[in-house]
Amino acid sequence: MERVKRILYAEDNPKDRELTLTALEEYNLVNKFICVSDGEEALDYLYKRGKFKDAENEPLAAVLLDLKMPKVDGIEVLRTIKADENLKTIPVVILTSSKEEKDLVESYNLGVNAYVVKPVGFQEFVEAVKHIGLFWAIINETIENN
Amino acid sequence: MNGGSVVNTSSIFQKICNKVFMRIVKSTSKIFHWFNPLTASIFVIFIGCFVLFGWIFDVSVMKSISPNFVSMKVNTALGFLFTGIALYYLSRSQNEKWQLETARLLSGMVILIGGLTLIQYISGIDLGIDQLLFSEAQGTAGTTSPGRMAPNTAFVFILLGFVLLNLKTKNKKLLFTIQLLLVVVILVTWSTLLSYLYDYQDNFAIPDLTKMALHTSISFIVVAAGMLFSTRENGIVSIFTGDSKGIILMRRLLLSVIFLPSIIGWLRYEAEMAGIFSTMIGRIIMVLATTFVLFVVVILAAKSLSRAETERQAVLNQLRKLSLAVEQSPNCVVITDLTGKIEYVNEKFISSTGYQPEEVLGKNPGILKSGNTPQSLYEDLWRSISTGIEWKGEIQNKKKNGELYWEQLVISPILNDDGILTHFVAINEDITYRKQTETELKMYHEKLEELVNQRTNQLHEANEILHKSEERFRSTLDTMLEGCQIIGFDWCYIYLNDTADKHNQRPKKELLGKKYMDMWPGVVETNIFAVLKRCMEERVHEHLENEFLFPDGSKGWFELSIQPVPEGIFILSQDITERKRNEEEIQKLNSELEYRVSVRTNQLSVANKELEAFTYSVSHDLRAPLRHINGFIELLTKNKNLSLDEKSNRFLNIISSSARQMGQLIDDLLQFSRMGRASIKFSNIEMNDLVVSVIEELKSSFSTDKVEWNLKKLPVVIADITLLKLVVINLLSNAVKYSSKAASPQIEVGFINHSEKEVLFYVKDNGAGFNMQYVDKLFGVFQRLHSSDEYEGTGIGLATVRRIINKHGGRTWAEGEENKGATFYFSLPVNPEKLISNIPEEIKS
Repeated sequence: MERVKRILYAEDNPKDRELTLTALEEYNLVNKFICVSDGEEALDYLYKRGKFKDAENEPLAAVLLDLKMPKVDGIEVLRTIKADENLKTIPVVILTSSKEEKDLVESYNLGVNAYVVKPVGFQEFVEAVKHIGLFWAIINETIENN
Repeated sequence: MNGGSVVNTSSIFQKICNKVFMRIVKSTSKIFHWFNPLTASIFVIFIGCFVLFGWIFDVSVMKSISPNFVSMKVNTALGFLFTGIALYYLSRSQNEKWQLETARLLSGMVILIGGLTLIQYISGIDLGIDQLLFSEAQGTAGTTSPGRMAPNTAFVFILLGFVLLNLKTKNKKLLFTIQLLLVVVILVTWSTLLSYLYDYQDNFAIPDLTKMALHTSISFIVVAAGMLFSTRENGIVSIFTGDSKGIILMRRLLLSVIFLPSIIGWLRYEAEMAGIFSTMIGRIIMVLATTFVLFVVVILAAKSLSRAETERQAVLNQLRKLSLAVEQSPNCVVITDLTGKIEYVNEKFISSTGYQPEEVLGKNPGILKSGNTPQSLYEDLWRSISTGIEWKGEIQNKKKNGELYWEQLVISPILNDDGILTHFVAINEDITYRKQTETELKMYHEKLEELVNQRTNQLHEANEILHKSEERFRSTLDTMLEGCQIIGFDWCYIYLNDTADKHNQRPKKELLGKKYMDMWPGVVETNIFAVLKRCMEERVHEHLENEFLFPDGSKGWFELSIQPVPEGIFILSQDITERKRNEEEIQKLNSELEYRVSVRTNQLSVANKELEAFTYSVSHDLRAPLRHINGFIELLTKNKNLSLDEKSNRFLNIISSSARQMGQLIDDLLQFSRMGRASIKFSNIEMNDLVVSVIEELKSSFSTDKVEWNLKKLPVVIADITLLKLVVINLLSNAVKYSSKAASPQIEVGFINHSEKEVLFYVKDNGAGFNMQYVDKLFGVFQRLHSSDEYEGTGIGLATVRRIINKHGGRTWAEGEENKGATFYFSLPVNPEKLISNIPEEIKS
């Protein structure tokens, strides 16, 4: 049986998380998302440590990262993933409010797979999240490495 | 041989004879010294006068010497007087004409006296001339007719008169005849004289006739001899005159010949008369005596001759030697007589002049004249030698072939034994070569002198110029504001100007002539001395700035230029203490400024970073709540369990719209802030293309169908394309927006070419326009002249435009009128990079 791939979603803002998850709900994509509240948790999940020590080892379709997060920010997580031989094949998508060119350039330099600016309008935001979910969780194929 | 033995055997006798004989001979021969025609004439004049005196005063002794003797007649005395006077006049070297005439007249008178007397004797007629003056008594001794002279006396007078008339003749035959006649006269009178000596009372010729008086006969001999002597120059007497040994000998012998027989004859007669010996013995003795005396005379003469010959030979040898010496002398020898006639020239003369002896003898040396010697020289020459003074000089002469030559000439007068000038001898040396050499030398000397003069003049001129320029330089140096010092190779000060005094802080008189290192103790250790030394030794130019510490502790900065000069080194100093102070001040200010700038820059960069962090958080965090507001309102409206009335729905819509507006505001604000931080990348931009593309883009967000675009031809500009596009977008969207309510919106984009430094663009619309009162607010951030209800907008667009244009170094402004439209201007510099590059990097970003 084909194992369902899941998307790791790191977002510190609970309101954003809620909005996102609400949007995903509409398309029944919620169960495909693993939500963490900051970069540290995201890394804990990826390396199965801390509170995810005993978590099931599931293959990841993608990692969705907010840039501005407490403790370890999105860029740092991205750098860690792309520097790790075991993790670097996992697609990383930056989902952020920042339109800053600096962030954009740095992210791409580190090997990001997609960069999405959160639209201010809710409808547009939902559309964006839905597309990301559909694309990365279902359409996109990944290397079976774990 | 015989004679020789006599002389040898009886030398005493010979000596006695010699002495006596020679004394006689010598004393008699002295007669020749004083005897001449003049003394003879004076003698007979005296006799004539003497006898006439006797006649006048009737003194018998004066008339006839002895009473037994015949008297001299009056006519005879007159004849002697006339003869004497005539001879006197004729013998004088210079005579008036009348004197000569008188002489002729007297000669005639003498002939007349003699002639008339003879006529009386022959014809027997008494003409009465005998007793004309004085009468003589009958029967006077030896006189046949009283007062009448002897016939031989008359005859002699005729002869003498004839001789006198022709005494000055040049005819040789006549002269000879005259001399012959005189000899006859002498012989005739001589016989009379002898007859007196031998007491022969009778007259020779005719016994009855009157006898010639004793003093008459003596007078005749004297006067005849005198006449003979007057012809000495070219007559018989000339044989007896002269200084040669032979002639002297002959004169002496002649005396013996003339007087000796007469004397011996008289002695014999006297002896016979005294009865000492008979006539026979007398005759023998006389012959013997005559023979003996003549023998002695001949021996003496021969001896004398032999001695003379020996002497002559010696003299000849000497002469030959001298002659040869003269003949072969390397110098030309010319002998002339007193008039300058050449009498002798030697071989050298012939060889050097080319003239043969026969060509020059008898000529004047003037034939050699070259014509180049001044006449005055010859005059000087003659004046000198004719007074017996030797002359020396150099004369240019001409050879026979015309060649000129120089000779050194010594002309000496030749004096005879009596100190009388007889000849001149000229000794010449050819000095042509020497002269040439001299001339050449002189020429070279003159040339050299000229050269030296020329050089001296040049030197003088150069000196003058040098002096002038030196003076000029010196005065320039003296008054220069820079200090000038010249130090010699011996390190002594040679020159200092007034400014140097100030720089050295000591007067030049302290330093001049002193050694540099002595004047500044310790200087040898300094760097500046090392520089001076290098310049002095390596002859290199040095330039440096140096701070000097003066003895009084003060310090001064000097700019020094040290260069090698012929005297040593030249130091040009300029006091730059003030400049240095200013420089230091400036440097201090600069570093202060730099420090302040860096502080400010730091502050600024910190501020920038803060701003960056701020905008970052704004962009990130500020948008999140808005999104949340929107999201949850959306969720709220979708909640089917919640029923909301119309009013509530409208509120929710307002909240949602406000949130969106705020989102837009934040976006614009972010963009504006990014503008400030963006770096400019210049490139050439086709303005037309840019505007066209922007117009196309606008169509998607605005309804531009009504708009009438009027796009002029625009130039190419140098700018950042991203930023410039933002400018164009802002301006055009504004134009569209504010003209959207116009009936027929017109938008014009163009440019005004008004300066070489910048290009000026404008965007003109016919929309809402604005009140110029508020033009200042147009470009402010969040400043709006219209309400959001009328025209949407955030109030950031024009602020962004101004900011971008300012960053490019351009200007922005606007003109407008409410409801009539607005025109926005922006300019861009032609060379923007130049302006921008001056802005520090930190500030630029």
